[in-house]
Amino acid sequence: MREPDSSYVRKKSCTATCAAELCIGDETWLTHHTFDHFLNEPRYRVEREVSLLTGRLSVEEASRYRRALITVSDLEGASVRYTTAGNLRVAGLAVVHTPGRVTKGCAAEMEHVSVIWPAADPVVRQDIPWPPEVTQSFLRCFNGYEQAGVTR
Amino acid sequence: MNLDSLVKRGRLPWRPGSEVYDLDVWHEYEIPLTGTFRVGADLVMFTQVLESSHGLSAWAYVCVRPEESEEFGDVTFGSTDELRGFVEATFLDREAVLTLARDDRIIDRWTRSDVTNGLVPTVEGFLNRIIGSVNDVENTERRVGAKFAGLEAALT
Repeated sequence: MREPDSSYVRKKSCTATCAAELCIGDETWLTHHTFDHFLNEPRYRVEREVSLLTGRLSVEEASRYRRALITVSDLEGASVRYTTAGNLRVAGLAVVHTPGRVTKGCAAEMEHVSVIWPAADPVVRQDIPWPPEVTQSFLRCFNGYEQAGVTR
Repeated sequence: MNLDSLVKRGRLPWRPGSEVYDLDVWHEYEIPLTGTFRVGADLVMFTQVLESSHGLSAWAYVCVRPEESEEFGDVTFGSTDELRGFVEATFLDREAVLTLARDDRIIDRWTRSDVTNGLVPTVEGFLNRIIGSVNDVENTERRVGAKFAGLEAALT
């Protein structure tokens, strides 16, 4: 069995609406954060999706979502880049609200979302690994939006 | 539950043994950072306490008391700070299992420890014992190399 299995996304999906793949509006800004290098596709045997956070968050804001303890060195090595839910959907990907237990609501900032391929029925089905053309489509969604280092 | 057999080398920290099931992720980014899973009839909370940007991470596990299970089933948080406060309170004054992982796989370092003063100080004690054990490494190159790498990290 692959780890995690396909029920992984469903269990952490938003329950505030009837469709976790639709409750994040197309206009919503999304932040992709990394402490070293951006994941451009899910890592096989580790995840079935790529994580992003709602809002145009700074490096420090997104870093603090992930770690309670962060160093100056961590922040200096971290980066963020931005896109919108609509950009990702036009590229053929699904954007699913997957807050787990940490949520202020679908319209709030700093909510966890999962980028999933294929877009059809993403709460139930997530294919991995992504084909190269899907990875390239995902990457193109961030053209022109990247920010590195401490932004205080 | 036998805490000595909870974590196994080479496993994902959020699925630390083959008998783990019913993973419930409370907080994640790329990987599950806090949540629960079951081992037999027991509910276990896990959390990532520390993570370096070079792939090393420290994880903690604690058994949830049966009377707490209902609250654990539907509790939600408005922020990660709220979540972290709840996790700290859950671990406080209980025996936890602590382990290290590299690149999301558990390595052969783990211990049982009472959490009397918060998770981070408890993990610090665990790390101090591992650092102290470097002196027992007979191979001089390995021993000095480990100390030098630690010093390098501390100075950056």
